[in-house]
Amino acid sequence: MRTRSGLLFVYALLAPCLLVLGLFVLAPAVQSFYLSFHDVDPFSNAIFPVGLDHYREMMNSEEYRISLRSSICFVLYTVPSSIVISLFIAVMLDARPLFHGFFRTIFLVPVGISPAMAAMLWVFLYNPVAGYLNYFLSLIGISGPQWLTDPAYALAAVALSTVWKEVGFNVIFFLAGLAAVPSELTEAALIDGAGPWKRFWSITLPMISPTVFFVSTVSVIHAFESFGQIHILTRGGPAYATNVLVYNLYRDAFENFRTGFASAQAVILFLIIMGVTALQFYVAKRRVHYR
Amino acid sequence: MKNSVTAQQQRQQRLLATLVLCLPALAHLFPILYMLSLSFKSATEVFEYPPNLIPAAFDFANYVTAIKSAPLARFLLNSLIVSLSVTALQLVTSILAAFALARIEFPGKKFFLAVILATMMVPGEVTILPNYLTIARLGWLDTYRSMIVPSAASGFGVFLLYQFFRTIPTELEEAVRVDGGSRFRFLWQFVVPLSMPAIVAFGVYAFVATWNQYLWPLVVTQTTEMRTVQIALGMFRSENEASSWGVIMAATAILVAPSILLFVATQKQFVRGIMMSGIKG
Amino acid sequence: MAQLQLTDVTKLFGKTRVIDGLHLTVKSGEFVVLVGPSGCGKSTILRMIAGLEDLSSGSIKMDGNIINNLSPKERGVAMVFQNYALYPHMTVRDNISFGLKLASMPKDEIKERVFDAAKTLNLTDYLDKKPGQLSGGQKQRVAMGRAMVRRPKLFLFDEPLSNLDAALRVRMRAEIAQLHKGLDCTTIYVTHDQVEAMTLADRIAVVNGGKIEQFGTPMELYNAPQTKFVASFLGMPPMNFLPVKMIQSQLVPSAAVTVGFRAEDTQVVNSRSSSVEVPSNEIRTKVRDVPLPPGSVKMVELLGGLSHIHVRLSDDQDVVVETRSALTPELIPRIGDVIELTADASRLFFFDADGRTIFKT
Repeated sequence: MRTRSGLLFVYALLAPCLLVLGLFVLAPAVQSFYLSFHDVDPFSNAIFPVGLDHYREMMNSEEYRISLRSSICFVLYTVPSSIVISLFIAVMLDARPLFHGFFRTIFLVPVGISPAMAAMLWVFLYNPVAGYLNYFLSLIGISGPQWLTDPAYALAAVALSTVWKEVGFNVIFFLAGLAAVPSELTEAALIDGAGPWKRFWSITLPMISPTVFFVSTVSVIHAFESFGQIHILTRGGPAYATNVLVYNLYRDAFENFRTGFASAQAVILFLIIMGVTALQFYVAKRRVHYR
Repeated sequence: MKNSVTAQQQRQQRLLATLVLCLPALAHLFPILYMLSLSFKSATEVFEYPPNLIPAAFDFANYVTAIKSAPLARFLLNSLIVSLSVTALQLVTSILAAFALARIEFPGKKFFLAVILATMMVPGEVTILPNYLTIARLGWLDTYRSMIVPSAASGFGVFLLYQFFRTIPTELEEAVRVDGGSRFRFLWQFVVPLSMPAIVAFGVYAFVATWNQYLWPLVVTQTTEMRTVQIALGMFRSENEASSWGVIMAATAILVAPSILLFVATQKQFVRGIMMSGIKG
Repeated sequence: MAQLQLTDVTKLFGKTRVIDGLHLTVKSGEFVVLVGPSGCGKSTILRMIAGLEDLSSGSIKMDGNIINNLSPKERGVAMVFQNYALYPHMTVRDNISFGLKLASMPKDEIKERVFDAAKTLNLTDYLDKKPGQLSGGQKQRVAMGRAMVRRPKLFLFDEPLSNLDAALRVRMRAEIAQLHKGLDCTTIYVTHDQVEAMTLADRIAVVNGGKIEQFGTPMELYNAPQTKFVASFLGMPPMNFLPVKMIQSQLVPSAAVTVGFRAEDTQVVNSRSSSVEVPSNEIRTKVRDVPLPPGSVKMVELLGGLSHIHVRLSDDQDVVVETRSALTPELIPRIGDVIELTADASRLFFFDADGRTIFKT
């Protein structure tokens, strides 16, 4: 492709894609970085440089600290539980139960549903008076909390609907991971006399540990990016209990019109997600020989 | 002998797995069943205690009220227009770019590939504010354009199709050239049909991802007429709290049904798309 | 039918000269085989003729007109690829007619041509199948049909038989030879298999290191190789070489000269431990035979009608001897037997240190 018309053809192919990605992904990413060192007047749109002020404010802001803590708590609530549950379901599905396809569909259906829709399905389950969740708890003698209005429980409630949605996503990857475990390995262990429990811990789990790690990092990223379910269920409340990083960013950007401050938050969020991604790449590279 | 023991063990395991899965499956299905149950219940029946999953009567009154009280069809149509347009545009831009990167040698190729891959690392939350400012400056707020144009290309789509296009043998391309076909003909008459599995899987993925978008449509739409399904759900939650839960759940059922139906109909391609999105992280 | 002329053609990949100042003239209607080891540049030559690869310098003329800058379509060539390159999502019929449709040929004529080609190639029953449903030989025929229907000025084959099993390869070789006779179309055929080259070609060009070592009829190359490379490449088993020169009908060690002789021009004159002479079906006049240093049998390959005896000579050189009759069990030399050999003096080839043939001995 040295001819001029050949090059024109290539650029014609690339142009639409590069144009859109450049204008709506790369440029804004850079702009976010730039705006984080500036203040934007919401009325005149005038821009003033403020140096590291926004970052300093973030470090000193009680509200931001709570927001960061909520995000981390949200990760801790959703990721380990969804991994354990989905691993369990995937192992059971991998044992080829009767009605396999039927079960599989049930567990995967929420994958097609958005977090916001999932939250909507759960809203009334949380109803402290007539909701099923507290009804079930009352059956085992527990008086259930005010799920969505008690600051101690609201984040857990949001996490619950998130886990419900996320499990199917994880099951997809675990099923693929399990299918890739050579059956000779488990059969060899069976002949060696290992019981199902032993087989799972000493053969299956180590073999799919790369998948577990991968799913974990993806789930952590998903958890950090959560917004829709919170907007539906709690709007960041009660008392900032569910005011996670993205929600705080949204409020500062579109309710408080603090463009510069919100941009600084976006940069920090970017760095957190980049960090998790980098960790995943790093570990995945080191483990390549393992499989 | 050993074989029959293994076979018997396997059968026991299968039965055990079936039994063990029943309860989680029921629990997993419960929110959907509950939504349907509530959608048939009257305002008073909803608050009966102890709750009864089976409604007193399968009365569609709530559905009628829901359809009358809000332009549900309009929400679905908005989501459909936006999702279809974004999917079509992403497919076109990704196919063209991936073809250039995968099948043609040209100076700067590695650079362009790196740039496109780099866009996959940028989370949407980071670009939302500058993009909002751009859309506002263009006067595009509260239009379909605002939801379609910024998503018209996908780094992930390029990456995915790039991987797939590279597996098509060079000899095939040369045979087409000897037969008198242009590069462009090779693209649309050979590369595209031969890559259909990847293209369909990515298409389903792109459609669902767009359909499920929340933050961006929330920010750029203002009037009720322009709301997508996702944002409409939030409106029901906040505005109609006082009104009957049965009506809210009937509306939710109408708005969620297409997602569930789409999943069931395209399960295979959908799962493949999700699997491929795994590389994206 | 076209006459083809390559003048001073050079191809660079980066800084590597893959083809270096190549000249080649192919007569109209001729079947020329480019043969050489893998990586010698033979496929690159073919691809440059097809228009799939640019020339770095030099020119290619077809019927006197320079075609360097024409696209494959404009050159009027058809090509059969190594892996067939059939369009997997199209039926056999569509595969064959694709090029004709692109040339916007009238539908009736396309139909007729496809029908004719299918009949010639025994593909009539398979026209509505997809390539995935065909056997290797059938795929090969479809690839040829696709080339045939376009009535090209030039037929190009790029190692078309290398993916077939041995039996099928022999059969398809015969079919290609017949096809060429029927079409009488100028053909250039690339292969690394010297048997294909010998059986198919009007003329063979032996390619080595981006250059043509020798260009001539199969028998010219076989009987009068101009280089050691050509001599070693054509003929099965490969020619024997010894670092010796001949002085007064005797072979004496030499650093500068190499003598080559073919297995079939060698005979066993004495096999000491089994004390039987391996019979030769060719009686030669002893006067013209040159004795080789004695050696011991390393391995015997019985091929039925003929046998190959691998012998290690006393000066640690290995040679292969061919006997042209079936060996009865008691006549088979045993490993370790010491035997004496002679070679036909009229069939010795001498090469200088650069591998060039020395014609005067």
